[in-house]
Amino acid sequence: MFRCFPGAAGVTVALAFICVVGAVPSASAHVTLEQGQASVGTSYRAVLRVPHGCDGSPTTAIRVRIPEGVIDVKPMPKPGWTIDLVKGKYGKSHNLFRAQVSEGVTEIDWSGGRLPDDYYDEFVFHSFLASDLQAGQTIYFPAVQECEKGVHRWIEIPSEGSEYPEPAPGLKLVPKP
Amino acid sequence: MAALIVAFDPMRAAQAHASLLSTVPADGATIPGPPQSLQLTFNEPVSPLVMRLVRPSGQVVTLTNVVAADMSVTIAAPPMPEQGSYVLSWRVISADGHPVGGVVSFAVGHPSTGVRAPAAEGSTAVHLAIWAAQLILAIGLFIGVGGAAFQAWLAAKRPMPAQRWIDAAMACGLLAAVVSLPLQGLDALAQPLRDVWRPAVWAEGFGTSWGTTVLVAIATLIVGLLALGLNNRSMARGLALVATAGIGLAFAASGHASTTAPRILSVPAVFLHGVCVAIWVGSLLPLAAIVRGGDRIALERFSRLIPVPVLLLIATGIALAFLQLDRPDALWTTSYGLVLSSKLAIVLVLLALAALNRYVLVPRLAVAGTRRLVRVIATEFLLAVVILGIVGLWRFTPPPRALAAAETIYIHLHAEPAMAQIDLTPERGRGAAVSILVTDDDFRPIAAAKEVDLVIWNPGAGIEPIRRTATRESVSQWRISGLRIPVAGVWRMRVEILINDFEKVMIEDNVELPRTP
Repeated sequence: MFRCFPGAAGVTVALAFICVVGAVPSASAHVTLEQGQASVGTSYRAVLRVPHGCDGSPTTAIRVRIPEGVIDVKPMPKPGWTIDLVKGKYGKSHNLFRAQVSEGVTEIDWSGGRLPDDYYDEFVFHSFLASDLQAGQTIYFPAVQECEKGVHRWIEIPSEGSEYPEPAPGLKLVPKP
Repeated sequence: MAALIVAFDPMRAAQAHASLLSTVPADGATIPGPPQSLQLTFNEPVSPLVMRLVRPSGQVVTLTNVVAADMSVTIAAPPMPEQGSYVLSWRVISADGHPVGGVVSFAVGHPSTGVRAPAAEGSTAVHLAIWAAQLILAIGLFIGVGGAAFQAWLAAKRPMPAQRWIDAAMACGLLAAVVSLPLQGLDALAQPLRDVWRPAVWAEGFGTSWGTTVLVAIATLIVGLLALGLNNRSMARGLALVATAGIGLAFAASGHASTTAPRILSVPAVFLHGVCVAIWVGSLLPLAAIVRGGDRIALERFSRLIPVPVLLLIATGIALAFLQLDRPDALWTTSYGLVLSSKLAIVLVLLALAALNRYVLVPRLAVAGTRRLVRVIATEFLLAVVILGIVGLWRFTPPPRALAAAETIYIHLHAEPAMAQIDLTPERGRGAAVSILVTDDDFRPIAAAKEVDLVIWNPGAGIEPIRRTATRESVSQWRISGLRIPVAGVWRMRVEILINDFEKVMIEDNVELPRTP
C-alpha cells in the first residue's frame, strides 16, 4: 500500500529508490503476520505482530477472526492478558490428519492487557492449514486492535490491486512441498 | 468501484505507521492572520516528501522550504494574502519507509464564503484600476464601434462627423483592453498594483474568462477602426456588422450574466443586449454632430429604426434581471440588486429623454431648431456613460443567483456486495453537504452498517486523502456536512462501510467534483 505520486517535484534516484523500497509490502507498519507465506496441509504458527498502539494510545485488546480452512486453532497464553475463544461451526468439514472436523475456534480475543505505543508485542496461536485450502490464494485474518482511546480495524481486504490504509493481515498459501 | 464517504478525523493519518499528533495551525481552526510557518508533529521521526498548499482561490502551490527536525516537520509558509479556507496536503515517509499522507484544513481571517467573486478585502487600487479599464473598454466598444457602425450604415455624407472622437474612443478602448488583462490577474492572485509587470500576473489574467473577452474585444476594436477608415461603402458596412456582433460576443464570453443557467437563454440575451446598447449608445455622438450639421435624412432614418433595438434592449434586460435575481427583494437587499436598481433608474430617465426626442423634438425640428435636440442628445450621451460606470460595479458584486445553493451532484458507486448513492450539495461558504445511501446489490438498505466513512483524494492535483466519518440519519441514510473540496476536477472517491467488527466493504471510483470552498 504505497502510492508514488507522479507529480512529486524532483524525482531523484533516492526518491525512486524509496518508492521501490516502500512498494515492497512492508510488514513493520501495521498489525501483520510474521510468516506471510505457508504451505497448505501443514501446521502453521501464526504470530500477530503489533508494533504500534492507536495513534499513540496503548493497546488493550486484540481480536482476530480465523478464516475458513484454518483449523485446530490454539492460542498461546500471554501473561497479563486474558484469552477468550469464540467457537462455531466451520463452513464445511475439513480433514485434520485422519479425523474430520466441522467446528472449532472462529475468533480469538486477547484482552485485559496494556501495551504502550512505545512497546512491541506478538500474539501467537497455533493452527493447521487444511489441505482443501487452495494454494496460490491469500487468506486473511481480520484483526481488531482496541486501545485505551480508539480502535484500529485491520480488516480491509484488498481487491484489484487497490491499496487500503488498514489492510487485514494476510497469509499467502503455497502448495504442499 | 466504490463509494466514498469522507470521515473527518483531525489526527488520523490516512496510512498507518507514523501518526500525525498535532499541527500548527490546528486542523479546522481559523487564524486571524497568515502564519509564518506550518508545523506537523508526528509520533516518530519522518522525512518530508511533498507538501502542497491549496489557496482559497483553488490554486495549488508546492511548498519547497520544508525542514524536518526530530518528530516535527516545519514548512515555511508562502505569502498568504487571501482570506479564506486553505488546505495543506502533506506526505511524509515514516522511519520504516512507509509513506503517510493527509490534509490539514484551516482558514485565515474567516472560512471561504464560497462565492466565486474577488475578495472584498482585495486591493482598492487594483479594483479602481479594473473599474476604470472596464469603463474605457466599454466606451471604446459601445461609443467607438457603435459609432463606427452608425457611420457605416446611416450617415449619408463624408467625412463622417465626430470621426475623430470615435477613433479616439476605439484607440483608448484598445489600450484599456490590454491593460485590463494584468489587472484581472492581480485581482485573481490578490497581489498589489506594483506587481502588474510580472509575467505570472499576465498569464493568470489571460487564463480567466476575461482573457477571452479581451481577445474578442481587441479584434472587434480593430475591425471597427478599419470600418471607420475604409472608403469602400459596402466593405465598411460589412466590417461594421462584424464588429457589432463582436461586441455582443465579447460580453457573452465572461461575466455573471452569461454564465447564469439556463445558458441557452442567458448567452443570447447578453449578446443581444450588448449589440442593442452599441446600436443605441453608439449612435448618440455622431447623431448630435449630424443634427448640428443639418443632415435631416440620417436623422429620419435613425428615428425610424431605433425603436427595434430599444425594445430588444428592454426585453433582454428584463430577461437577464429575472435570471440573475432569485427574489424581487434582492433588488434592494443585495449589492448586485442595488447596482441594478440604480442602473434601471437612469435607464428610465434615458428612455424618457429618448421618447422626448423621437416623439416631440424631432417632428418639430424644422420649426424649433436643432439646439434643444442636440442638448437632449448630449444629456442622453452623458447618462449612458454614467450607466456604463454603474454596471462596471457588477464586477465586484456576486449576483443573488450565485449566492443561492449550487446544484446537487449525484454520484453512484457500485461494488460486488454493496452500492452507495451519494448526493453532494454545495452550500455557500460551508463546503458541501453529502448524503449517502448505502444499499446492497438489490437496493435493500444495509441496516447492519455500523459506520460509514468517505475518503477523497486528488492524485492529479497532488492532494492527499481527506477523510470524513458520516453520521447516521436513518436505516440506510448517512450524512456528512461541511465537506470542503479545495479544487475542482477528477477526484478518487471511496466509501468504507463497516458491516461488523471484522468486515468492511470498500467501494471506490473516480468522480468529477466541483470546488466547494
